[in-house]
Amino acid sequence: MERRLFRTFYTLGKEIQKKIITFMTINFNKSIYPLKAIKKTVQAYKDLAKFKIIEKGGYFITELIDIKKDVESVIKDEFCNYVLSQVKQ
Amino acid sequence: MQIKELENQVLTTVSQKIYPLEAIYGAAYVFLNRAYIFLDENKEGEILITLKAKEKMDKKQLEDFGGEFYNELLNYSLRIGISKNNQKIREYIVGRALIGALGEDEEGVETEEPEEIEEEIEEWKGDYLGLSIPWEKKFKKK
Repeated sequence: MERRLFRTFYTLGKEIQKKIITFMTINFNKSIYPLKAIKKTVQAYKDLAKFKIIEKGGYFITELIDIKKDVESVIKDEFCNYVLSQVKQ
Repeated sequence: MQIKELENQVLTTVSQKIYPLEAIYGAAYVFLNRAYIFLDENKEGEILITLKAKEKMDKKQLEDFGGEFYNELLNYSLRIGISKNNQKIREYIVGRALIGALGEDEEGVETEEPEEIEEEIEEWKGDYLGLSIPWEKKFKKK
């Protein structure tokens, strides 16, 4: 019984951990980052994660869901750099 | 300038009154291959710049890295300033070049049509009076 309960909690924990890892938000300041640049970046990164852009206050909040495992550690930084490169162009 | 050695980051705040946003974009663009850059704005309207070096650096290296960024910022600010000052003269030069490329007609100088030129060549070929032959050649002693 105890072992069963432990296994259930363990699996549940793993699931929660997975959800936490695969969910990220990046706040882009409206006065610095134009929406067009963010959208272009989303288009370029569409195969690596699911994206959602929300406008809230002075920010464009970009939500990254279901991020590919192999890019999880770098996607946030790379995404920001790509947006910046689009702003310059 | 704040150094965060553990995070491999340099944090800095710059005033938009001194460095225009265009200059910040330009300097950031130069550093894209060496660092992850994130920009934000504080309540005072200053730009918060986060430089996260791609390669692991120690405190001294991070300080130098931040210094390099400041230099680039200055470089771009100056460039923008010069570009603004020379805007009118640049526009004038480009305008003149475009007018020149369109042809001289607009300046009031007449240009000959190709047909007229051909007629002239034909006339010259039929030099019946021998006007095109030099004097020395014409009256050369035999």
